Amino acid sequence: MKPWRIRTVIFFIIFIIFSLLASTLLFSIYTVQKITDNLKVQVNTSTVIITLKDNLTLLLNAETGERGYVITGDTSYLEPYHIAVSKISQNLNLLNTLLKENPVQEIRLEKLSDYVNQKIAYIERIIKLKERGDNATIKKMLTAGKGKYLMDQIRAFNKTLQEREEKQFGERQFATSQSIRKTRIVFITGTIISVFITLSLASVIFNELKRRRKVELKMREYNKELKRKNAEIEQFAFIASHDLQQPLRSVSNFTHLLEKRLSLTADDEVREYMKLIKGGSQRMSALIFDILEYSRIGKDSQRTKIDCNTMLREILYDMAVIVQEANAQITVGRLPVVQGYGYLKSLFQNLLSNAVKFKKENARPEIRVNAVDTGNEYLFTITDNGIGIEEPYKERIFIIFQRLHTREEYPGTGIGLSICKKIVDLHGGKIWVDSEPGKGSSFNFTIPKFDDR
Amino acid sequence: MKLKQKLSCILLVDDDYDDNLYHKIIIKKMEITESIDEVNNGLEALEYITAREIPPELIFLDINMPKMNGWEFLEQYKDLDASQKAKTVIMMLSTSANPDEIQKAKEIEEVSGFQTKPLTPETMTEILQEHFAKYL
Repeated sequence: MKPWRIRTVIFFIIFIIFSLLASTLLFSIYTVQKITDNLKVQVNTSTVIITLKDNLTLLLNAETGERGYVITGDTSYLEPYHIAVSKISQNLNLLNTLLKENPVQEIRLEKLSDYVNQKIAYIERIIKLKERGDNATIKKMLTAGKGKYLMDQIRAFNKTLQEREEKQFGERQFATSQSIRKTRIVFITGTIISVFITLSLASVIFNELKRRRKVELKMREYNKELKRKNAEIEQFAFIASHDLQQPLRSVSNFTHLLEKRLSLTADDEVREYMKLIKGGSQRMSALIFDILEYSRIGKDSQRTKIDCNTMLREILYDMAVIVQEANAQITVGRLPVVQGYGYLKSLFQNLLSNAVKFKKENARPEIRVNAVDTGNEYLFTITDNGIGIEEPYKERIFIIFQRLHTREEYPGTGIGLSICKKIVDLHGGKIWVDSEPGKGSSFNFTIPKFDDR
Repeated sequence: MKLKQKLSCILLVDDDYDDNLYHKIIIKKMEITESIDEVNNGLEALEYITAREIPPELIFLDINMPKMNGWEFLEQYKDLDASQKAKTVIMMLSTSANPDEIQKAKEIEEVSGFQTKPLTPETMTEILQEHFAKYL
């Protein structure tokens, strides 16, 4: 999978997890609200039921008290009646508020209140009659059966009201348990889905990590392989050129002996052939030497502190003969101490011998070596007044075996500047040439300051 | 080159026939030794030295050889009796002037110098002047 797709998938899965969590939360809030409502209603209805029952008991007590008083004339029987009268009106008020939102029950309550009040009024009348000692009227009233009628009505309305409330209580109870069940289902499924999605997210991430690890391992392997191949090639170049020297040495050694032996008897033709064989083996020897040097650059070497001033003095000492032959004037400015490889010597040597070699005819070579500190690196410049290099060749000259002149004009293997480039590359620097054909060249290279901490 | 007294023996340790032939011609022409012997590897060199009563005065030792190379030979040579090593000068004579190998040779006590092939009358003269001054 491509990286951007992986990112999209991960974002998508995280989005799903969050929306799942959010909807579960909203659902929970909604359910709690609903259960709270139901409980409120349930408390209401049970209060209504209890109050209704209480009312009926109070009324029955009042009636019992009334009867006791009528039969015995003892006022202590009226105690429950007095309690009932005040309590009942309180209860009716309470019921009124509790049933306010239920019109049908409200109507029933009105009827019930009406009958209750009638009943109380009826009891009161009987008590009054008893106080006056009008037993005959009492008997008449009791025989008429209004008291019983009222009581029956009250019982009936009480029962209906109570049944209605019980039914509502049951409904709400059912709704509550239903809500709890639903919540449980939502919670369990939500949890299961969340777990699955989280697991799939984990697996996506895990797979991606595994894939990346695999790619990394493969890259490391390739890198190692590359380094190995590179070392192999370097080793090959080294061994090949080393082994090439052996047969070549036989050729030049015995040509040398042959030349001595023939020095008195040979004719011009033989001498010319001998000269060509000698020249050829010398060129090949130089070529092999340069290839060896080229392939050796960077092999098992370490940076050391190098004083370029000392190095240049040594080089000029070694080059004294060719400098003298060319009557060259070499001026060296103040040079830095750098952290570098010993190959720097070969770099200066190659550039200086080029500067001497590619001189203008009939002109004294003037060569200057300078260096400036540019902050992060040192910029070295070797300027000559030689033949110069034309624009199109300024980059090509650093490629191995690229020559601009014939052997007869200027001898050389075509490796010198590629050795220079390899050495500068080893130091992490750059090399280039500024030149005006016919006036001279400036070879520049940079050596970055190396922090060995 | 005229010596007051010639060396008695020079040993060439090299597997290359051409090089041995050329070096023998160069040395013979200089008339500086009674005999020149050649062996083809380190093992033969050890056998040659241990079989002789008087060790050779000068040994030219190549590095790359089959069976036992120059470095391995020097390891074994160290353990020989002092009488078998007495007064022997060992010169490394190798194909290329590899800086690592020159350094390695410098660190070995038994080695007196490092030369690149081919051996020339000039280098031979230098060696004689440095190590065999009393013969001159």
